Amino acid sequence: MKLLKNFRDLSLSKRRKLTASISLPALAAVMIVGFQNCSPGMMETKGASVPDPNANPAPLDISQDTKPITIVYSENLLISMQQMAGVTTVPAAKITRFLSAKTKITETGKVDSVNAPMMSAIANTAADVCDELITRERALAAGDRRFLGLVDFTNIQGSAGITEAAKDEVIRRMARSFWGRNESSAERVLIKRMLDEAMADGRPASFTATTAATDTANAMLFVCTSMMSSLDAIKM
Amino acid sequence: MTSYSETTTRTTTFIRIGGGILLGAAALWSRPAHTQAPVTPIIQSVPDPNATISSHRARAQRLFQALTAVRVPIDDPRLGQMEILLRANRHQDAAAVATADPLFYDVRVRDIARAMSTRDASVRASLNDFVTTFVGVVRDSDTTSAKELLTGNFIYQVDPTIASSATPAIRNTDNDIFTVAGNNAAPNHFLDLEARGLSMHSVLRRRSPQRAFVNGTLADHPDPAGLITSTAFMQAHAVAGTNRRLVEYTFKMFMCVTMPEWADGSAPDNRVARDVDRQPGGSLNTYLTSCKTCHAQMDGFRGAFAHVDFVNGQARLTPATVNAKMNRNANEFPAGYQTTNNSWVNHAINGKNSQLFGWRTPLQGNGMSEFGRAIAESRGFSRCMVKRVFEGVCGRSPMPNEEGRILDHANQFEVDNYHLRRLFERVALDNVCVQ
Repeated sequence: MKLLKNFRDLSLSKRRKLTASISLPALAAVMIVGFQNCSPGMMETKGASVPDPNANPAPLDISQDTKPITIVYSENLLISMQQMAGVTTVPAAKITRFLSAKTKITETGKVDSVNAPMMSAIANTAADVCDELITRERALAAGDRRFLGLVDFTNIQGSAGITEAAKDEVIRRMARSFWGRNESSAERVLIKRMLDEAMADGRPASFTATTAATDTANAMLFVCTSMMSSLDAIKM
Repeated sequence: MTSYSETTTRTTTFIRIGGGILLGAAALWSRPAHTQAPVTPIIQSVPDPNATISSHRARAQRLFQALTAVRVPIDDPRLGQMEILLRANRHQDAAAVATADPLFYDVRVRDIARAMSTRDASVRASLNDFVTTFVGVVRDSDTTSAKELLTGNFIYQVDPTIASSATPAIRNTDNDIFTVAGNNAAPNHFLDLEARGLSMHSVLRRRSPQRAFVNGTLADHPDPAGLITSTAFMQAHAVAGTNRRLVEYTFKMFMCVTMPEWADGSAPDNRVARDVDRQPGGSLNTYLTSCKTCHAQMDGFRGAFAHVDFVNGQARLTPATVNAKMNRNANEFPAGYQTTNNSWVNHAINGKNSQLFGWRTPLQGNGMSEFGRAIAESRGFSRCMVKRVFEGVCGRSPMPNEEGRILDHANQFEVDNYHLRRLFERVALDNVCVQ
C-alpha cells in the first residue's frame, strides 16, 4: 500500500508487482465469493412491488423475488460509461486502449460470461472515463460541476483536505449516476474508509500545490473507478 | 440461497477491491491507436443529489436502458420526460421518448442487426448495408413496413452530402458501396461510417434501387429481396459453397429456426440435388432419416439463388445462366435434381412446419424476390421479429410458457402493419420484459 501514492509515477515493474500481489488475489476473491452460487445467471430482487430506490432492499426470497439480469457488453460499455459520467468525448489514445480491451469483454452481456480479465478490462475502461470526468470538472467552476462541486483541488493538504461533506456528496452523486439509486449508509462508510486508507498510506509530510492537486484528483479517481466498475454500474 | 446480507457483503467486497483493481488498471495500459467520435450527445446538467427517486423515475430508467442498451444517470432529463408520461399512464408515449433517441438506433437496433448480418452472429460485426438498412427501416417505420426488409428494392447509405462533408470524407462511389475490397469486412463506405462515429439516426438516407454486378457490370438489381440481396448477406452466405447457406440463414435470421428445428423426413425429395449421396456410407436409411430431412426442404428453396454468387468482393448475378456451383458434384447421384432455372418449391409445409411457418403465399415461385416475399408474408416472420426484439430488449430468450405473449405481440405487429419501432416499444412495456 506504501506504493499506492503517486501510482502513476511508479515504474512499470513496480506497478506490475502491485498488480500481481493485490489485484489478482482480490479479483480471485471476488470471483469465489461473488459468483460461485450464481450460475448460469445472476439474479436480482424484484420484490412483491416496484422497489423503492431510496431505501435499502428488503431481504430476498430467491424463488419469488428475483429475475434474471444481464450486464453491459463490449459494444455498449464505453458509451454507457460516458453517459453515466457525462463525458462527451474520449481522446483517441483512450479509445484505442478500449478497442484493444474490448476483446476481453463479453459480447453477449450474459452474466455467466463474466470472468476476471473482463472485470479488469471494465475497470481499465472505467479508470479512463473517470480520468476524463475529473479533468473536465477540474476546469469548471465548482457550481457547474456535476460530481465534484465540493472538492477543493487547491487545498494544499491534498486528499487529506477533502471534507467529509465533499466525500458524502461525491459518493451520493456517483451512486445516483452510476448505480441509479442512492448509496446505503454502509456503502458510504465503506467507500470512505477504503479511500482514506488508500490515500493515507505513504502520504508525504507536505505537498506542493501541484502534487496536492494530483493527490486530490487521485482520490477522486479511486472513488469513481471503484463505483463505476462495480456490479451495480454494469448491470442492465 | 442468497440473502440481502450476503448480497451486501459481495457488493461491498467488490467495492473494496476497487483500489486493487485501480492499481491493476494502472499497470495494464497499452498503447494502440484510432479515433472514434461520440455516438450521441451527452446530457450535461447539475442535478439535485437529494431529490427523491420515484418508482416511476426508476421504471423510466429501466425502460430507457432496455430500449437503448445504454445506461444513463437516474437524473437524466430524458428520464424526467418519461416519468411525467408514465405518471399520466401514457406508457407508449414514454417508451417513444426512448425510441426517438439516437442511442436506440446507434446501439440497440444496430447490435440486433449486426448479429443478424454475419455467419457468426456476432455483435462485433462491422457496419454494412444489412445493418444500415435494418436501422433505416426501423427509423422510417411510420412509412416502411418491416416486410420490406425482405421485399424492398433499396438499401440505406450515408446521405451523399453528409458523406462528402465529413472529415475525412466518407467514400461514396458505387464501388465503395457495393464492393468489398481485399480482406475488408465490408465495403469502404460502411467502414468509413463506422470510423467517423456518426449517428446513423441522422445520416442515413434510403437509396433505391439496389445494385449488383450483373454479367460483370454494376447495374440495377434484377431480382431484389431486401436484406437477403444486400451485399453483406451475400458476402456471408453466397461465397463458395452451393448456395444452400442462403436458404439456411434466411430461415435462421428471419424465421428464427435452425435446420434441425425444421427438418422433416416426410417432405418430398424431388428437388434434392445430384451432389447429395443417396446411400451415404452404403446406407439408404441414413439418407432417408438424416440427409433428406434437411435437403428435401432446403434444396426445394435453393433454386431461388440459381443465378447468384459472391466472388472477389462482389455480389454477382448471371440472369441467363445457372451458376455452376448449383450443379457441382453431379456424379454423386446423377438421377438427382439438376437446377436449370431459378424456380423454387416450398416443401416445408408438412406436420409441425405448417404451424411453425404459417405460409400465406403460393408454394412455389421464381427467384429471390418471390422467395423473400414468401418469407415476409409468413406468420413465422412476424413471430421471429417479435422474438428478436424480445431477446434484444429483454436480454433473454422467451420462456416456453411465454409463447402466448409472443404470438399476441406478433398479432399486434401485423395489425400495426409491421411497424417495427412500435414493436420495440410494446415489447419493452410488457411486464415480463421491463418491470
